[in-house]
Amino acid sequence: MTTRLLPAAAALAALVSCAPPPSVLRIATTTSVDNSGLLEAIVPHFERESGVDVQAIAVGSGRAFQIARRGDASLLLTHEPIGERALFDDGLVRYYRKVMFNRFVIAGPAANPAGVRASESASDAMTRIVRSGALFVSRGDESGTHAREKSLWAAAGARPRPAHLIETGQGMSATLRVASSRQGYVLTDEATLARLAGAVTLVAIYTGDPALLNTYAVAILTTARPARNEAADRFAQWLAEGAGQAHIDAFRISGRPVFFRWPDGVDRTAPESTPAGVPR
Amino acid sequence: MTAVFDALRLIVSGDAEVWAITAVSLFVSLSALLLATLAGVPLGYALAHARGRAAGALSSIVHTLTALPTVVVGLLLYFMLSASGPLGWMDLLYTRVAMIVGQTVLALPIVAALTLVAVQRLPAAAFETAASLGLGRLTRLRVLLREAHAAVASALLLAFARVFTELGAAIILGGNIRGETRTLTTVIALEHTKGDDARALALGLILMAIALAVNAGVHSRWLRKPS
Repeated sequence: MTTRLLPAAAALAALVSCAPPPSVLRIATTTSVDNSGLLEAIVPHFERESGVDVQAIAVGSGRAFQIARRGDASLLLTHEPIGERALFDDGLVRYYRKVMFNRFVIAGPAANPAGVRASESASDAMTRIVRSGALFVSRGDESGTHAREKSLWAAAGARPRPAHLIETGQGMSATLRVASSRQGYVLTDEATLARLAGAVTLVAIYTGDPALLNTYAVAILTTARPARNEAADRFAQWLAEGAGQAHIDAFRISGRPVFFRWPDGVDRTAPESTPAGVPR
Repeated sequence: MTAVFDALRLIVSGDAEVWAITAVSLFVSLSALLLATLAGVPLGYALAHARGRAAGALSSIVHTLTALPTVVVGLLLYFMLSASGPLGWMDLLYTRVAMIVGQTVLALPIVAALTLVAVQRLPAAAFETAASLGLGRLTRLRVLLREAHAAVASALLLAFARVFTELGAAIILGGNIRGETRTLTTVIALEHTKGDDARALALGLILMAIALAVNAGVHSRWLRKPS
C-alpha cells in the first residue's frame, strides 16, 4: 500500500512545488487599467524597486470582487464604489485607498440625434437618449462602467425600451466598436475611448457632471493569502501614496493624460469620496 | 489579406512576446498530452481487455467524457483549486499547472476511449500470437500497441488538437496573465476584446498553422496508408 502511495505523494509534492513563490503578487484589476496600457507602463517601475513579480488578472470589476473575495488574488484595483462599499459592509477590507480618477463620458455619433450635448446633467442626458428613441449600447457585464450606467438610469428614472438597447456582455473596447458600427450612444471611461479614437467613429458628447467622475481604488481583503500580504501592502502603498502616483500622472495616451492622481486633501478612504473637479 | 501580412510580419519579425506565448501554449498542451497519454493509453488498453458489467460501464463513461465542454471543466476545476475550494491550499489557480490539469482532464477520455477502440479492433491473431509467445504483461502491451500504433497516434493527435486549440479551461484556470498563463487562444480572445482584430487574426493564423503542421507532420510519419 505504501509503495503505491509514494508515487502519488511525489506527484502531489511536485504539483505543490509549482505554486508561485511569495514574491509573486497576483492582482485582480478592472479591464480599463490594463487595456489602456497603464499597468504595463507603471508596474515595471515597482517590480524593479521591489523585486516583486506583479501578475494581473484583468476582468470586469464584478468578477474582480469575486476573485478577491475567494482569496484568489491579493489585491484589487477597481472603479466601482457601490461594490467596494459592499466589501466594507461584509467586513472584508483590510486596506483601502483611492488611487486616481478620470471621467466617464457619454459618447455617441457626431450627429448627436438625441441632442445630448445641451444636457443639464448626466441623468438629463440619459433621459434625452430614452425620449429620442436613439440606440444605447450597454456593457451588460456587471463591470464598474455597467454599474455606473445602471445608477444613471436609476437617477434618470427611465430606461431605453428593449428595442433601443443593445447589451454586449463584453469589455469596453468591444462595446465601443458595437456602438460605433450601430451609431448608438454609450457610457465609457475616457481612457478606453482615447485609446480607440482612431478605430471608432464615436465622439465624446457629454461629460462634466460630478456623477460621471470615475474613481479607482486599491483594496486588500482579509481573505488574501497571508504569505503574500507583505508584497500586497508594498504595492498598494506604492500605488496610492508612494512613487506610483507620479508614474500615473506621467502616463499618456496619444499625448493626453487619461488618469489623474488622487488630489491631496481629498479623503482617500471612503468609496463614495470624489475629487471636486477634473483638471483640464 | 492584411491580417495574413500582419501574421507574416509577426512571425518574421520574431516578436518576442508572440514566441513566448506560443511556447507557453505548447508547454501546457504537450504536458497535458503527456500526462493524458501516460494514464489514458494503459486505461484504454485495460478496458479493452476487461470483461464484466463494471468494465462496460466504465467504457461508456470514458466515451461519454470525450464530449466534456471545455468551459465546464474549467469551471469545476476553478471551484476545486480556488483558495476557498478543497484544493485551495495548493495555491495552483492562475498558474500553468492549473491549465495543465484542466487540459489533461480534457485529453484523457479521448486518449483512453480511442486506445480502447484501437486495441479492440486488432485482429484476433495479434492477441493469440502475443499470448502464445508467453510474453509478460508489459511486453504484451508493447507488442499490441505497436500493432495499433497508427490508431493510437491518431488518438494522441486528436487529443492534442483539442487541448491546444481550447479556450474555456485555459482562460478560467490560467487567468490570461501576461508572461505567465497567456496562451495563443487566450491572447486571441483578449486582442479581440480590446478591439485589435488584425492582431487577433494574425495570432489565429499562427495557432492554426501550428495545429495543422503538427497534424500533417504526425500524419505523414505514422498514419500514411501503406501503399
